[in-house]
Amino acid sequence: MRLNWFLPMIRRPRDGIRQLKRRRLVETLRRILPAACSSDWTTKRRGLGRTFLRRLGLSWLASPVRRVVQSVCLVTFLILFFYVCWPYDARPAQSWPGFIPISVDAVSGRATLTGNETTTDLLQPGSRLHASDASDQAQLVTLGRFEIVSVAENSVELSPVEKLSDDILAAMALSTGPWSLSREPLQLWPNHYANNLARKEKIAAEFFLVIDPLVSFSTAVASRSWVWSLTSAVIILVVCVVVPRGFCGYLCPLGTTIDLFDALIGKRFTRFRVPDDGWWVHVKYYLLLAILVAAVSGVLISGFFAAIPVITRGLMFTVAPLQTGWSVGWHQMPPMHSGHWLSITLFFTVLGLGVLKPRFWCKYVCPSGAVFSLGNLFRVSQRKVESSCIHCNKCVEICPFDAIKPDFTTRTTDCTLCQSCGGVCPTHAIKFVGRWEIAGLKSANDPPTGETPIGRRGFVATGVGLLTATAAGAATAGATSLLGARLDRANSPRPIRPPGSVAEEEFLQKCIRCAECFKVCPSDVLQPLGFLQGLEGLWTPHVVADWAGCASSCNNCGQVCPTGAIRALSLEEKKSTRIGLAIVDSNSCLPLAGREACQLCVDECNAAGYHAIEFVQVRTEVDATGMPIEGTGFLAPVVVAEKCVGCGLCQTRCYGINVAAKKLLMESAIVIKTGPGLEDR
Amino acid sequence: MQSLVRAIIALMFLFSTPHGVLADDIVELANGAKVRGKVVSHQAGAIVVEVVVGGKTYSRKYDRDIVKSVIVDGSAIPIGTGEKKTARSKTEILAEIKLAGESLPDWFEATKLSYPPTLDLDWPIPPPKGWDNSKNVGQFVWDRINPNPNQWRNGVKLMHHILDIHHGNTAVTKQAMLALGSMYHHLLVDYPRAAYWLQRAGVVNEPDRDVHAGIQLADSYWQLGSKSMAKDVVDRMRRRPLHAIKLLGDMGETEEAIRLAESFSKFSEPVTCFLYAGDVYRVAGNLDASEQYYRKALQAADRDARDNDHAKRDRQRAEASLAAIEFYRLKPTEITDGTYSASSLGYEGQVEVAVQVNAGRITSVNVTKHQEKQFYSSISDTPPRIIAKQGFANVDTVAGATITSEAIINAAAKALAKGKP
Repeated sequence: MRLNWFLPMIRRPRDGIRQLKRRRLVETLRRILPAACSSDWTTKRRGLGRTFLRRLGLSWLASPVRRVVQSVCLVTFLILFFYVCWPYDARPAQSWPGFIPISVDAVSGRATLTGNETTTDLLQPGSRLHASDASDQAQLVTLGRFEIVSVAENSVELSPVEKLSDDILAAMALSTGPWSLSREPLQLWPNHYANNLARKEKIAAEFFLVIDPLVSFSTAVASRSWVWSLTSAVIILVVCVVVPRGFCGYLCPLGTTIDLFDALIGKRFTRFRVPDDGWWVHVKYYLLLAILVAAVSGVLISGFFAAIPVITRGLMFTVAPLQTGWSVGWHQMPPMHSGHWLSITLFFTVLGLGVLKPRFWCKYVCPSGAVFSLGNLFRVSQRKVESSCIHCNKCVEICPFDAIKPDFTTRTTDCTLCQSCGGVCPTHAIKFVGRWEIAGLKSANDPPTGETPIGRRGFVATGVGLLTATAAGAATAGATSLLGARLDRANSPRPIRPPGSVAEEEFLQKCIRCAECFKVCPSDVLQPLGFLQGLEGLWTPHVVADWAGCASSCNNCGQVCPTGAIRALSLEEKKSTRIGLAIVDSNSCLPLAGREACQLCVDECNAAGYHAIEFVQVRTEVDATGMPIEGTGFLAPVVVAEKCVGCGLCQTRCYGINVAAKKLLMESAIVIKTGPGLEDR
Repeated sequence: MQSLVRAIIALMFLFSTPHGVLADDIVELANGAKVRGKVVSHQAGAIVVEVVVGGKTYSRKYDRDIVKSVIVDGSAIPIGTGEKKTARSKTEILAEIKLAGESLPDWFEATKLSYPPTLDLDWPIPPPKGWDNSKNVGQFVWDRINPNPNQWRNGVKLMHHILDIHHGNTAVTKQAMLALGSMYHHLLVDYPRAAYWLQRAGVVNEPDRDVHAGIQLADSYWQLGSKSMAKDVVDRMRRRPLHAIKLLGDMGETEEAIRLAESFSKFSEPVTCFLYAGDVYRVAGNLDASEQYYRKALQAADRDARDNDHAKRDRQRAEASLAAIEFYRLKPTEITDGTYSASSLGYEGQVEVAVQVNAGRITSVNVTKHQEKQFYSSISDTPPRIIAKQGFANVDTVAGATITSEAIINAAAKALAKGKP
């Protein structure tokens, strides 16, 4: 078994000994490409490819495959995060409204319509469009697909593509118009946000989150339930049996970002460098243990440290607001609270650890990496050093993961099979082969590693570490739940969760705090919770209805949730899923308090299509006979509980106008409340 | 009889003409749409057209208000508005009222009856002291049915329910009948049924016992096509409510309506009187006189209102009417070239719009400032629609973004108004 994909160092062949074994592919390339492209093995002159890679850096030259895969993964991750999870390019279905039928043949279904200049401008003969009839305002009748036969200055003639039913033909013949023509079948219930994500999601937006095994393992343990992303975690672990810790070396976008940070910034600060060995080298295992102990106690803290959530949340709170501000408007940037700043600090600390040592985080701290390190115990392939090793130390210097011992053999739990060492080895002594191949290896402990079998002190130290980690995990779990959500108490705060969220207790155990739902949420309805539920609810999504209401055409949050804390609802389900109930405050609501007429919330609810807020006449004056006087009193809102889903659009409007713009109120007079019985979870 | 003959003729046509070559009647609607089929009735405030597709007959009713012309058997028939409304005979109208009134509306079965369990269906008149819309039927109707269109059918259902359980109790049933007439009249705009229930409640004989019911009955007759029956009811009323001004104005009795408004204005609610007078002139097409009365209403609002609250409300009504007349008059052809901007209330605050007019055409509409957080699509989609229509009256709002759309339209109209020479 050979897994070599590094680019070996050029070595001048020694006369008469043996010619370097050449591969057929390499030979073919040498023949096809101009001579300047290939390296000269006798003079050791580098070809163009090698020159270019060398200019990029030694690690590029040594193992270009790895660097290319890393780059592709980082770019993919950024595209998924900043383009796929970007709802603001969604538009309502393109349609041309306002056509009036002036002649309909009830037998053939051919129809002539009049429209205005702009509408006919946009239409081409031969194109096929969907037609719908808006005669009845309450109900849009889909007429079917039509081909445009001819377009005149102010009229257009249509012919049906498929045979129409009698009912449709009659509806067309008796229609008063207007008709709409559209590329997609027009629906009364808009779906453009949901469609936008579905259209762009060629691979799952949450791809990198679901292949971080700690995400799914810890949530599954904490919630004691099956988490759908466990499947992909198992797949990636199986892959990493063949390419040990390959996730860290090749795929992890956080690792690649750290690499970039180290190359651009970290290497300039050498005075903080720490020695190769120290108490910190096993922190990741203890951290993993603490996280799992907490998870067993039903408290999920893995999101604070797991690799992918750290980077998604970091980008969400730093770059994403700038993206929104820049391209949609600076007023769209949601406000930040201490929770944001804590996450940002954590993110920059993770990057900043690079000044201690390149990829310090990945090597010593990252608990997701620890999962793979433990997975390495089951590796089937590994790095092996042959006896031709000349102890030149080049491999030790280039290894990004500190995975080479002083005797040049491998620290198997740390090696990510990046193969940089193979690429720099002047004697081609390093091979990546099956775990059990032992022929021609160099002798171990030469030069001496200084490593001893675990002695009494080592045993005690490890024991103390494990005990401390267990205690810390348990203590964190205890403290978090004691000072946390306290769902057992009736008056504990109940944040409004996204539509499709599982029950609150399970939600807190399943939400990994990756911030993916914030990114995909149009107008930042979902924002991270601060310390309202202590540490237990930190960074979990909640609806900030003062800021924005949940768009009726969107079900994106559930689609990108990597753990199923928010279930992926269809738009049809989401339409009727309650996340809360709007409650009108009779003391402050302008018409209810008798201050002035206002129907912002009712208009908003109707415009969104829920029709869940009706009017009630209040403060009517009566004449001497007890009859109401027309024109007195106000129309005030009354919420129809059976229709209200708690989307918060009403609250947004009341807050935006009456509180923020007109300064009539201190807080919105209609607010979404949630709790048992008010939400479908 | 006439319609029966026509129906027979229609049937003969149906069987005698080859497939698809029916000599169709044509109903042209106000928006320009043309409906071809058989006009089976054009009497009851509505035109009913039938088409036969695949052996099945489909029919649809078109409200007279949206119909421009009707061509039956190749010649135009009078259906018109204004003076022509009086064309129908009393017998014809009474027959229609009876026919419609004795049947239930087609949605009746499907409508679910719902009312608070605390509601006192005995409906004592006058109601007990203290306003309670969950107990007193009249107050429930006033507070919860009237303001909500999706409750109107429920309201009718409730009244029929009350008629059923109080069968024989004239005091309550009369009250329910008046309420039914009123609902059919100004909520559901079903004039035959409105007239039927008002007649059954005895309004014909005592039109001014309940002045509102009297005017509703008169208006129903007028809407059904008899000016003389309507006039007769109004003339027999010694007491008239303010609504009489509007009705007379609609009936084309402009002078009498204005006279009434002037005389009412001397002792009650001058603002409303002047607003109604303004409406009367606007309907009559005299926009200048209309504007004058709206201004008068504005002045009166400052002077005569009972208290500050009423003054504010009256002023808003007068201002809205004045704004509407501006809106009504606005044509880009009359605007001096230039760029004008104005703002209007949108979703999150003021939306500012700049309108450019060049050679009598709106050449560009730009949203220059806004705070909208949601539904930003209308910011790019509404301006082209205004440019396309060269006006504001029929600009479609962007689906799901009506509020922002409307704000843009209003702001653009306000802006354009600034460019009037």
